[in-house]
Amino acid sequence: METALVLIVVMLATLAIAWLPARKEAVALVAVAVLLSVGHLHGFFPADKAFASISLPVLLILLSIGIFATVFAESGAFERACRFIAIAARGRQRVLVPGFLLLTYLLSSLLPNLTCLYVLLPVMLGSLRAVGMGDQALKQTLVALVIASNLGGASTMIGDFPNILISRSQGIPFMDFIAWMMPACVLLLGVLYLLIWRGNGGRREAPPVALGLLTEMLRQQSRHLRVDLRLFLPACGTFLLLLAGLIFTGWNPFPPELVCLGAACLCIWLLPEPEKWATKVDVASALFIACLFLFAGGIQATGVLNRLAGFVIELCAGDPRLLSAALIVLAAGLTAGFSAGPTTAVLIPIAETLKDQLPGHLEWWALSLGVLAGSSTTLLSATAGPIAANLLKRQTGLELSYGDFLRLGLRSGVWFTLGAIAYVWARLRFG
Amino acid sequence: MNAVPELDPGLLAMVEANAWTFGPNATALRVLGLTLRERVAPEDFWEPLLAGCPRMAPLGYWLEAHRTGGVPVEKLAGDFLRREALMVGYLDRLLDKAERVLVAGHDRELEQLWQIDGGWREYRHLLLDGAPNVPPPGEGCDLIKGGPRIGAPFTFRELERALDWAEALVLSGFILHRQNLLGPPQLRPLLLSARDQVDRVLLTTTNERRLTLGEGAPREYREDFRPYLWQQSVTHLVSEWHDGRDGTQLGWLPLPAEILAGQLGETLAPAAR
Repeated sequence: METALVLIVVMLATLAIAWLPARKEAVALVAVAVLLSVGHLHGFFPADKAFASISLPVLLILLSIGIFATVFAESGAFERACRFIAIAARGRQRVLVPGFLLLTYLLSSLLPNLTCLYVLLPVMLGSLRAVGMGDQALKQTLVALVIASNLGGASTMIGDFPNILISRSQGIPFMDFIAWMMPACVLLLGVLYLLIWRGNGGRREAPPVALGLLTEMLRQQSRHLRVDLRLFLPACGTFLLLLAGLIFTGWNPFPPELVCLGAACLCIWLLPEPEKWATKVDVASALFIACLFLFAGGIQATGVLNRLAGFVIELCAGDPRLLSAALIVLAAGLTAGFSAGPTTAVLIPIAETLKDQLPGHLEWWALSLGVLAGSSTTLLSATAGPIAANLLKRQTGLELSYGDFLRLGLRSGVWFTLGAIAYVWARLRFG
Repeated sequence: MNAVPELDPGLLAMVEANAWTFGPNATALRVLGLTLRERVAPEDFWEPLLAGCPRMAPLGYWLEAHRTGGVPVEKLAGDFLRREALMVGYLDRLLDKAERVLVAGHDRELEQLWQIDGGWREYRHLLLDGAPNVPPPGEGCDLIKGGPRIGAPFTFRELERALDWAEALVLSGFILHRQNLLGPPQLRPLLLSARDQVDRVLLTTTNERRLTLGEGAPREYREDFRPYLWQQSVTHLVSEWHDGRDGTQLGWLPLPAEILAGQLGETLAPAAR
């Protein structure tokens, strides 16, 4: 009874969040209120136990990285990088598209991908439109950019919520993520490029005069819309400090959340008008993430996850290859349906149960890769999808439908799942 | 000459946005340079641009110069830059006694003005409001953000404070263009208040235009240039404004004799001669 009730509340909430991304905080808060009331009354999820399931370190890392993303975005550095690529490509789509995919990937690997997409997409869409990219190709390229941002987020410890969650719940260091996740994500980025290139049937380049005109206009923008160094330099310096702190985690006495918080505070202090920046902390996202912790805590309290984990272990007969593949497929499937955040929070206890069955941190890499594959599948499986669709509509009037996303998303999801299994098995075999 | 293909609407939108953000003259000069580099016929290239980007009025003016005035495309940029330099020099003289200059709108000539200024004069922009969901012209642009002699901009809501601060007002010609839609809602209060509060209101214009307020279409090619002095006309201009858009034709400032005599050069001033 309790299990069914909790699962229904969480499922309804995650579906509502996926359909109404603009109101995700409100939906999550209502669902949490219901969950806490039911759990407290029935005694399986009392309030003190519920609040203990919220991970403060994860929230601190998210808030700190969010501050850097905001400062970088407002400094104009992202647009500058985007224009630099477009000018260097001289508007040729065969250079422009992979250049934009790579830029999105790189920035999303260090900063929250939503902020990156918010700032990058207008310039990218404007440039692609200006070189005559057709409606369908533009939509598919947009989907590819969203997926590239997911790949970037999955590459590092601080790129996206699932990895931050995994890292802090297990104490996995920054460099381990780079060593394990980045090679896989770079390979999958190559797969993504092949998929989009084949999907668009090659590209018809715009004539030289049009390319020249685009380059001239972008040069003019670059000349007058410069990077605000008063913001960029302090943010860049303190962010490098943060990265150094994370890379050398074992050599300094501070845990990652303190490194992130310290660097963010130093950054704010060095900026002009620090009081203004202090108010730009993304409290709404922190609140939403706290709600996800409560969802996961509620489900875990019912004991259903332990039963599911036991079933998976029994089904795979303890074989590490089958177990890792099962976890990847389970994570991909659930994420495609219920989006990345809630799925990761819910699957962490299951992955933890598999700890003894798999060598190294394999269960966590499998979980992260599975979530990545699932979050790239549908328009609603990652928050970036609806946001990108809104930006496309606002800028070009084009509608990105669920089906439009699925055309590339489904192929990516399937290839990423297979690629992730192959990668994990290869690492199991060759180390 | 190379053939010009059909230009994508997305590209035309970008050109138009650049003219809004950085000024039509600055943007048109880049198109002119590209026309020469790519060796395309201006008639083929500029006409679709003019049809898709109404703010690129300088191209229309140059096209007229090329067609009816027989001016080779290669000479257009040089002529423009020379006229611009002369106008800016003259503008600088007209602003001689002003220490605090309020600037509305922006384009290349203002950028040139910052460069020749001696350093004691301070400029601040008045950021005009754009249409709904459109950023103010020039917002975010380095010309407006601030610099050694460029103070923090005023928003249109701070108009009275801006005019209290200013000793002179310089309007970039482009803000009067019909496509920029900065007509009665902003120009009327701006000019009305400026009449009483600042010593001089100057309008920069490097190209001959029909300057009935709200119109800005290039009409004919004339080789002269002059800043307009609006001080005498403001009352009339504001009171005569109506839907028929036949406001006031503003008077030229008389060109100084030394400019007429020597500096215009051979390609300039058939009208002045």
